[in-house]
Amino acid sequence: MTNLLEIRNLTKRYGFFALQDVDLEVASGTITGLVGANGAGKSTLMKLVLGLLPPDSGEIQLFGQNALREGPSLRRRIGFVQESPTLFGNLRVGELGQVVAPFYPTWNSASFQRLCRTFELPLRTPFHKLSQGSRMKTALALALSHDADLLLLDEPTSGLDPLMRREVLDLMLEIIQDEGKAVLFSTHITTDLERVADHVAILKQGRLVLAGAKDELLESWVLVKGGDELLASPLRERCRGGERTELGLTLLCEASETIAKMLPEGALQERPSLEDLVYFHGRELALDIGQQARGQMEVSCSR
Amino acid sequence: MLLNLLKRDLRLHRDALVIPVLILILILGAIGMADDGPALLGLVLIGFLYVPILPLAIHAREDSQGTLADLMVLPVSRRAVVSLRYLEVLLFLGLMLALAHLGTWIALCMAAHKAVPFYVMDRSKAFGLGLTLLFFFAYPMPLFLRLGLKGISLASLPIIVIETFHWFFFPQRGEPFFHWLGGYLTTTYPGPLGFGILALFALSYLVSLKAFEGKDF
Repeated sequence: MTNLLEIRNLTKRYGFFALQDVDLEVASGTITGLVGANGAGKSTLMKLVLGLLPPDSGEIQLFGQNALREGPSLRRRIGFVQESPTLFGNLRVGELGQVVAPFYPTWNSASFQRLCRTFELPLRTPFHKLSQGSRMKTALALALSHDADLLLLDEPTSGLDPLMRREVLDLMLEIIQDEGKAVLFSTHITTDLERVADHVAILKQGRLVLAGAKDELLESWVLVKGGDELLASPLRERCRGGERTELGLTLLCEASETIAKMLPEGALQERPSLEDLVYFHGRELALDIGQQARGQMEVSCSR
Repeated sequence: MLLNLLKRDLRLHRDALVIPVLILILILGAIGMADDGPALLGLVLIGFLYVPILPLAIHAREDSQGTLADLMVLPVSRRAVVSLRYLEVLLFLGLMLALAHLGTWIALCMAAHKAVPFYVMDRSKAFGLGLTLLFFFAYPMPLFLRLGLKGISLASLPIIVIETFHWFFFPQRGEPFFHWLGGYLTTTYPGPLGFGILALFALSYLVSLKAFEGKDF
């Protein structure tokens, strides 16, 4: 496996937002899911990779070459779908293929037609008259028709019905059957990650707080449930996040062989789901212990 | 690459081409009316002013609709996009100059040795007008390409200020400053003026490349 995308110490500041010191690798034959709250920096990261935003510092390597210097030629090997595709609104779906085709030496018209049929896209309807779901499908058909090696999909399943969502996810799995290709997609839907992602990266307020192989990540963390005595135990030092509910405390802690010995009496441990990982890593953890807020309290867990 | 981009623009913005085509039809129709010289000149002037603005209008529309970002996702360099806009300005300007000359020639043929209705658009005047327009495109282009329509507003500000001062301090001239300056330079230094404006156009292109390079999408 080779890295199709390597990001090192990438930083971009604009306005009040800053994407800071992001390191990420996307290897061939893998699907990487990028997850985070709205405004976490997922779209910004993709735009930086595509050269739509110039970075303040850091390095982006695409297919082993400097993306900032060789950007336009490297984009031939990238398929991109943005969150709310605007494309070229007044053109019909069929015309969009004709407009985009000359820019890609590897454009496959038959593949575009086939995808349009699969997605049941009306070729003669202007793009701006399509529903959100059909727009997304059109963008996907365009991104998939030039045999791209790296697919960057910014929330590709948003606005799609469950059936089509499943089809798109299956399509991603189909793409990486060719081990020279890779997919980086952002999403809010953790079930999408669970279904297709090999690797997961969690962004929080512009910082990458967790990244790695999905299975390894799930094994590296444990959910501990119990009462307030958890906070007094050594577990607190291993805790990344937590919350208080009416049923008690739940903490997300780093898994280790010794963790069972640290558990206070009556406390339980269980394997977290991907959603738990995202949930607890995505939350603000700086509140003081004992501070009550709206019936739920987040627990300070300094590491 | 530029040809592909040009084809894309023509396909994508074909609705915008209705107006120049309409102007062309009007010009051709007006040529038939050999005695209506001023009306003919007016139409040509509209064409002159409007048609080269088209690339800028297209660019502004793409910027506001977000399709400029879609364009930049394609394997297209920023340099190519800037070059395309300058090429389009020159192409449209050239087209209008050619039409003006064609109109003059047809009108001359039709009028034979009588009074020529199209006399005002002789070769040197058409060329002078072309150069003046080139100046007015060259000057705001970098700001426009970087900031979109906001750039045009910013670029207009100094012109408005200069014209206001000019009217205030030199009311006796009775014409806008740039019109007066253009007339003065054209009669006094026609050669250097032509070269100067062409150099400004080239400089504008280089600055635009730099300005567009740092634009966020």
